[in-house]
Amino acid sequence: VLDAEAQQGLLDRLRRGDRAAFESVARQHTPRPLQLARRLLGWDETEAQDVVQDALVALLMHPAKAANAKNLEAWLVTVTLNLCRSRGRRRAAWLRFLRLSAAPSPVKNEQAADVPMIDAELSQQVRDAVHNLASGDREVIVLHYLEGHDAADIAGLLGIRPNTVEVRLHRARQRLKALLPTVTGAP
Amino acid sequence: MSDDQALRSLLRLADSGTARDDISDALIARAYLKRRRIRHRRAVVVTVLVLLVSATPWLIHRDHTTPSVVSIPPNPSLSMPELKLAVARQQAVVEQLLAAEQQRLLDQHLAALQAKPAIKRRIDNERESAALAIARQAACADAADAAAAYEQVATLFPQTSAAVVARARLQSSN
Repeated sequence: VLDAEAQQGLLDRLRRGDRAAFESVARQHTPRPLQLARRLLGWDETEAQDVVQDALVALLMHPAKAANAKNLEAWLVTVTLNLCRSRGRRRAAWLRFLRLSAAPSPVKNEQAADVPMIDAELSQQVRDAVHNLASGDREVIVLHYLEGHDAADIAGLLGIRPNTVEVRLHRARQRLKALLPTVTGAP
Repeated sequence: MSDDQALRSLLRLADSGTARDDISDALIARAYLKRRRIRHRRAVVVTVLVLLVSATPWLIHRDHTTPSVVSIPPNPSLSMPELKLAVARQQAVVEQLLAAEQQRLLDQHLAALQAKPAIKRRIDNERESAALAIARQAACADAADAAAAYEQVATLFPQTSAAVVARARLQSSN
């Protein structure tokens, strides 16, 4: 992890168009946004890479904005989150336009080879359930349970109040349980 | 195990094995390519906008009284003879413009030719020969005709040596 001074130096080089600096930033700070994008986009590697690519383009086009952020990785996470949201909105609009109620299933070949078959099936069920949540619900579930953020952090990331996050998290939990009745024992 | 913990375990299970920290060179290269495409697209848009903004005053304030040679404005109230007259007028304007343009090009071409040293020398020689021929005729003529001929040489070919001689003869005869 870079300290503030080193990060500033890296961003100064980036602003001067230094390709090595950009590659360094991409390699050091992009894995976390990439993982977030995977989780928010139904573990679809291609979609996640597209979103992170757009986040890197934003960094290349607006290095000054990134320089104003206290933490470069947090800035990239926020940009990635916003890109995932806008992608989700676009997809929802298209689905409405095409009158398709069923969302496409998440990619099914992302499972690790060492996961047993029974776990693989269960895992796929959970992924489908998360993917079928509304985007707002999916965001809070992913950010809370997988990214490990508390309500205050999530509120900062999503630009909403902590109380709203708590309410949304509670509802999202209920909806997820309803989508996984055989697993969670929900009615 | 509480519901919350169970849900957390399930989500962790779904997420397991997906974390890959390697950022590929292709991803970085694609980001550069996409930035280039965006910049190119922006440059095109800006150029078009600048052209539009630059052309707007001309489009708004151009002199509409200048005869248009582009087209005859559509006017359904025109009868056939009026229409023929309008076409004939347009043709006349086009011909005038073409003639003027041809003359301009001809003058331009002539000026360019005269500027060449070889051509200029040849023209000077022709002038000199013509002036000498008139001067020789004047030498054989009577006094009144000779004076008129010398006058002609001095006026028409003022830069030639024959003109110098002609002027001298005129002065001596006066």
